[in-house]
Amino acid sequence: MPITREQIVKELIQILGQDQVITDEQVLKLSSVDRFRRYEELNGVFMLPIPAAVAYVLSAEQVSAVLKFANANRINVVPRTGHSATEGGLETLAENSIVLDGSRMNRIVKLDPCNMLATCQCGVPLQALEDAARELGLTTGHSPQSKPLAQMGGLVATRSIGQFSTLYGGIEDMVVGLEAVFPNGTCSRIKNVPRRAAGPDIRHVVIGNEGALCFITEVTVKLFKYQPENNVYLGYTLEHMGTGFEILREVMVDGFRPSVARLYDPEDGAYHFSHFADGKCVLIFMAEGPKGITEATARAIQEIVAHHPECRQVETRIIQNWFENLNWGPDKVAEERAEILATKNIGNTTEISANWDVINQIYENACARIRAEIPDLTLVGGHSSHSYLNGTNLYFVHYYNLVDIKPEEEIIKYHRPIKKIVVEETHKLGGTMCHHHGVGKHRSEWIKDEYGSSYYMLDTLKQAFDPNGIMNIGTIIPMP
Amino acid sequence: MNVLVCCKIVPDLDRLSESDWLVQDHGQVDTGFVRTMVNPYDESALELTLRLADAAPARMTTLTLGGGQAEPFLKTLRALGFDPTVRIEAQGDWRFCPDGLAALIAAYVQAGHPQDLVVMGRQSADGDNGKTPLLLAEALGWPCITECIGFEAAGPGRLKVTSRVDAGRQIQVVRLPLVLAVGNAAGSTLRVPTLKSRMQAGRQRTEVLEPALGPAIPGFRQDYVLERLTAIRRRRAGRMVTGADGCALAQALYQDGLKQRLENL
Repeated sequence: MPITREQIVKELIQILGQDQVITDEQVLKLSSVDRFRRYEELNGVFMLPIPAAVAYVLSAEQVSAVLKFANANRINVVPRTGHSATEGGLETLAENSIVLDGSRMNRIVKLDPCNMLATCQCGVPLQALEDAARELGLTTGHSPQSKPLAQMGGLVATRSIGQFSTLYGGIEDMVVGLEAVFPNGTCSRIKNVPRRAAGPDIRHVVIGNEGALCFITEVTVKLFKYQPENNVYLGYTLEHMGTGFEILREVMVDGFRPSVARLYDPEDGAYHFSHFADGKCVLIFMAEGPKGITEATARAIQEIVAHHPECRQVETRIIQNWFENLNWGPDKVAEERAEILATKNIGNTTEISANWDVINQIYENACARIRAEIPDLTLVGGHSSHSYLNGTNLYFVHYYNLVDIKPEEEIIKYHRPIKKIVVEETHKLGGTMCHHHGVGKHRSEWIKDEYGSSYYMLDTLKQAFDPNGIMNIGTIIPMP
Repeated sequence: MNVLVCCKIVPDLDRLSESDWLVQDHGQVDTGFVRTMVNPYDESALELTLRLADAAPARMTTLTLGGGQAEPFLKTLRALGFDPTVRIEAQGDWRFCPDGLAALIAAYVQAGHPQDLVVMGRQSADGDNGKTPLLLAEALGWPCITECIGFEAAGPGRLKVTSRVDAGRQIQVVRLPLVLAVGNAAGSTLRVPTLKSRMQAGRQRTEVLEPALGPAIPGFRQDYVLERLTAIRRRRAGRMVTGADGCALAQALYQDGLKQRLENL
């Protein structure tokens, strides 16, 4: 006989205590979704099964106890920390799920300037860790736009990336060690060493698992010296995205690593840069680090750009000011909510990546199809913000008016069809459909196309670590 | 009905950090590097006018004063149905010249562009004068209703206007012509034009005019001097609320903080 909702709550209280188990109806409704369904949430519409409880944990032992209980009773568990996910990864697709929230595990365990390591529990907000590091003249180097909101467990679970990734790397380059708890209650710790070749790198089983394999309780990330006094900002307007991609490629192939290397198309650029770049593409760079390196990087970029006569340099202060206002705090989220309700206009993003020789084609193909096939569009465009030796990402930005629909129809009429187009056009040319937001629930239907024959490895991992299928059902791998 | 909406493109001053507020050599605070936006009260004026036109036929013109930085915004307004979009190419710093501005707008209206209704925000984010609508009404010899938060057609030549007053709201049915100064109208964010409507409006252009009054514009002056800037410090005393558990914390917050405020509402 399946366990009842009341029994779940009773057992959770037994394990964690009354204070850590929340059953308030409004909290449960809000906990059934994430930003993917924010239009529904704004309108008070909740279409998914409401979880049985939100369980706040304070230790790895408590996580273990809850997971053992859930595993024994086949209860779906959705791990969560900052609640800033964007792809449905936090949606509760099964009846009577437990939302297992680690945000109260918010202690910075150790900052180690000798070994350049920061160890913190999963519920430490990245902003708090960054502020603590800065007091020592250090930085995590990790700066996603959600920095004011996101917490370390979720950032590692989603394989997140930040605005300075071209220099510091993504989270996968920053994580040194971690601790995670698996559905059978096993708590595993991966120690902090500079590198090892003692079998496969098992950190990558955990990094990016999106709560589908385990619950991350503690992470150790690298620290870097913080030298903002040497930052050099460069900005250019130009006519063609193809030229912009070529410049990014040359910068990377020539061996330079600005912390910021971004290319905006005119549509996406209009939202940010209409005060100086109406109808133009915009290229932005920031060089960061020791003075000699930032100067050399800036000089090299200027030389590369000089070979492309369509580029016009922009005043540095404009770029710096734009950059300083990029991140999303609670104030901007609140402002966005009010605007969506007032204008019935909403925007979303779909991030992919691909090699240099196909990225511009993917951009053009996807944008053309979106414009042709999706109604009520107000903006379709994109930007590249994370470059590598062999390619770059593309962040498609798509806004639309919500016309004659119920709130729950927004993702059916607009958002999912747009994602489908982007995924199809990306896969056709060999790119990946997820660069850094994670698969969540809403790209899982294409996961086999994404993985091809390597899906065997992903599936086997899931079977091995979560044989009862209790971890965040529907995330990464679609519901059966 | 012919409706003229006057709007101003202003720097987004929220994007300036405290260290950016410096008096430069030219005696000004440099905001040239900051993103620009439609003055928020003017944005409300534009959206409320669109709502008027949704319900009753109206020819909507928009007028702004300034240089080419207004063009992206005027493109958006054309896509929303404002036709014509007019820009008076006036040089100089007009932030603190409400009388000159009112004279320019009145000259536009009186020189062959008759209007039934002129709408604008009550003040701009950078000038903050709060006088232009009233001075314009005086120049035109029209009535002016301030703190307007909504308006709709009420029969031929009449408008039903809602405005905020000390005691609450006032609703008046007034005869046109009229000047409206839009105040804090909740939920009046400007709607967003579709790509299709942008393309359809793509061939239209801004009508760029020289100031009708020539170089000697009454009230226009640039001899003011910025002497100093003083940051306004808004700090409130705070204290940590303590309690054994969530219930105790909530009780402490309610008893010591919220209860008195709620009773005073």
